[in-house]
Amino acid sequence: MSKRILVVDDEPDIVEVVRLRLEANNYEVIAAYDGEEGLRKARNEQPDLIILDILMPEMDGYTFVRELKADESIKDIPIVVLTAKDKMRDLFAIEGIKDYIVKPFKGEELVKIIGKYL
Amino acid sequence: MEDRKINILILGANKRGKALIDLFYGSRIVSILGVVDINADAPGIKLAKERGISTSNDYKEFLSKKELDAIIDVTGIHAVQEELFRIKPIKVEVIGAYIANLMWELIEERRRIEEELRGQEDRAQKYLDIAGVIIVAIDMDQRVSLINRKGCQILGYKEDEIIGKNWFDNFFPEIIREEVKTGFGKLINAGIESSEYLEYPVLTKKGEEKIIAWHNVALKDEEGKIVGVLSSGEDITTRRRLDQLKDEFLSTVSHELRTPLTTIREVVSQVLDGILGDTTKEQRDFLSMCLEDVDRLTRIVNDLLDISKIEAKKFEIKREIVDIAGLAKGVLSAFLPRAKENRLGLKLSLSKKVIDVYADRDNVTQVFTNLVGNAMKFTSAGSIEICVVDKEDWVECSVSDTGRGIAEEYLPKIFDKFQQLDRVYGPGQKGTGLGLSIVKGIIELHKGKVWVTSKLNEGSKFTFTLPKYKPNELFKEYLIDGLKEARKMKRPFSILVFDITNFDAIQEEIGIERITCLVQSLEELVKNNLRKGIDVAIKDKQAILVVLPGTQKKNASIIKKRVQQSFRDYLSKEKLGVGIALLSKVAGFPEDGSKYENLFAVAKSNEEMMML
Repeated sequence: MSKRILVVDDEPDIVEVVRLRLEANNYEVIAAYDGEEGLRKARNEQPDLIILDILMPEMDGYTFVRELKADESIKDIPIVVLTAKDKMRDLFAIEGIKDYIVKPFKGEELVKIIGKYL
Repeated sequence: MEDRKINILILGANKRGKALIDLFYGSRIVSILGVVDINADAPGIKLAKERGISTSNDYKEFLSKKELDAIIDVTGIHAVQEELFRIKPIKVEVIGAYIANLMWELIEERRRIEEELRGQEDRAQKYLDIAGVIIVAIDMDQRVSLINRKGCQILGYKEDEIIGKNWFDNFFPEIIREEVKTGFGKLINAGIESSEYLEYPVLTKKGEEKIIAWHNVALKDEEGKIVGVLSSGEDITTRRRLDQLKDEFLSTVSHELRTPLTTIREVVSQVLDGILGDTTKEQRDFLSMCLEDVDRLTRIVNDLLDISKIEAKKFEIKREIVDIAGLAKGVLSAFLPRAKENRLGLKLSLSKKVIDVYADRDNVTQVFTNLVGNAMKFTSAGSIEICVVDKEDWVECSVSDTGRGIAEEYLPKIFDKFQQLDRVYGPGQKGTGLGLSIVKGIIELHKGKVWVTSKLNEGSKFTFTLPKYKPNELFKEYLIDGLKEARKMKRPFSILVFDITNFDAIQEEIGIERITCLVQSLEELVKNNLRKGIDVAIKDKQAILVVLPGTQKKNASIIKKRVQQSFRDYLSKEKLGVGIALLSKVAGFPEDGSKYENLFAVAKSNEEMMML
C-alpha cells in the first residue's frame, strides 16, 4: 500500500502541483487548505507524513505544530515544512519538524527529502 | 552688635529711598522707624504707607525718638545735610548721600545678579522642557528628583505625581524592573561614567508600554561623589513600529513572489519530466529554457530581498560555531562538476584541518558560493583557488582565479549594486549584479572586511576576513542572552562545563596532537547528547562549555552523567595510557539565581571531579 501524505497549504495551486508530483511518485495525497482542516484530516486520516506551509491565514504553521504535538493521536507524525519564508534553520528548534524545503522547490528534491522520513 | 534691632529713619523717598525700604523691610537687623519726604506722593512714601511704616514730610519729629539709631539721607540736598548735622542728637549716626548711594548701588547689583540667576534657572527649565526627549534625574534611593515636561507627557503623569517616587517600581514594566535596577546599581556603584545606549520600555499611566532609547550618566557632586543618575530617553515606539512594518513588507513581498514562482517552476518541471504526458524534443528544449529563466528569476528575487534586508538593517544573522575549513571544502565539492565541465582546476588550501569561527553558516556559504561562482564566470582557462588561513585573531579567506581580471578604474565600484562589468557572460549562471554587494553586506554584519586585488588579463583575488571568537567570551554572551530569554519566557535554563584539568600534564605525556584529538572527541561526545539547533557546545582549549536553553537543572545533570559515561567508554577503548582528570560542573536557572554571575559561581562550586 502506498504511503499517505497530508499537504497543508492555503494556496490551492501549490497543493495541486505538490499532489501531481507526489502521485507521480506513487504516494497518496490528502489535501487541506488551512490549519484547522489540516488538523482534522490528520486526526481522521492518520497520514504517514505532513507537508506543511508556515505562512497561512487563521492558523499558521507554528500553531499547527503546537496543536498537533498536544494531541496524543497525531503527535508522532513527521512534518516537513514547505515555505516561502527564508531563514528556516530556526525551524529545527521546533520539536516535530523534521526538515524544510524552501519555495520555489525542485520537484526531485521534495521527493528525495520526504523519502528520508518514510 | 546688640540684640535689639537698629532703628533707622529714611530721609528722601524717591526711588533710592524706596529701594532702601525694600531692602530693610522685614529685616532681622534693621527696623525702619519712619520715611520722610516733602513730597507726599513720592514712591517711597506710598510704599511705606502700604507697609504700615510711619511717614512724614518733616524729619524733625523723629529726632526726639529715643530708639532712633541712624538716619540715612538720600535726598542729596546739601542744605538738608548741613541742617541734619547741626541738630541731630549725638548718638544718632547720619549716613550721607555718598554712602547711601553706594548702598543703593549694592542693592541694585544684588538685584541684577538675582535676576540673572532666576533667568538662568528659567532658561535651564525651558531647555529641559523644550527637549524632545525625557530628561530625568534619579537619586541614590532610586527616587525621581527631576523630570522635564516631555517626560511627564510620555508617561502621562503630572510632575508632582512623579517627583519623589521610585523610578523603577512605578514607571517600568514589572518584567524588566530587576534588570534596569541592576544596570542602575552598576552605574552608581562601579563608577562607570555612562552606560551605553539601552532600550527599555516605560509603563505609562494608562498602562501602555512605550519603547525608549536611554542614555545614562552618573551624576556627581563637587567632590566627585556619585549622587545619582541622569537619564535622557527618546521615545522610539513609532520608529520600532515602522521597522516592524518594513519587516512585514519584506516578508510579504518574499511570500507573494515566491508562491507563483513555485507553481510555474513545478508545472514546467513536471511537463518536462513527462508526468503530464509525452513531449517532443523541441517542446522540452523550450521548457528547459523556461526553467532556467525561472531559476534565474528566483535568484534575482532572493538577491533583491537580501540586499533590501541588508540596507534596511533587517538581515538577520544567526551565528554559531562553524568550521570554516570544512565549509569551504563543501562549497568546493559543489562546484567540482562545473569546474570539470569547464576544464578548470579547483584547488583548496587550508592552514589547518579545522578552523572554527563564530558565524552564520548559510551566509558564509553564500559568500563563498557568490565568489566562486563569479570566478567561474570570468575564468576561461587555468584554475580557481579557495584559501582559508587561520591568523591570530581572525580567519582570512580568499578566492582567486586566473581569469580576465578587473580594470583598475572599476575596482573602487566593484562592491556597489548592479555593477556588472560587462554583460558578456562567461560560462555558468547569469548574474544579478547584486552578488558582491551581498557579500560585502554579509561580511560587514560579521564585523569582517572584504577587499579585492586584480590585474587585467591575469586574474582577481577576493579576500574576506572573519573575526575569531574567544570561547569564554562567547560562553558568557550565550549565558547572558539565554538567561534574559529564560527570565522573559519564564523557562528553565542550564549550563554544563567539562574541563580536563590536567591538560598540560597530559600534553607533556602524549603530545599536542593527541590531546587536541582527545578534546575534540570529548566535544563530539558532548554534542551527541545535545539537541541540534538549540543547545550549544563551545570548545575551549581544555574544556567544553555547554548552554542548554529550556532545560531544567535536573535534566542537565542527567546529560552530564551521560557524557561522563560515554567519555569513560571512549577512553577504555582508546587506551591513552594516561590518567585524565575530568571536572564536570552544572548550574541552572531558576535554582541557582537569575544572573550570569550567580550561575557562573554555582557552576564553579558545584563540581564533580573524576579520574579516568
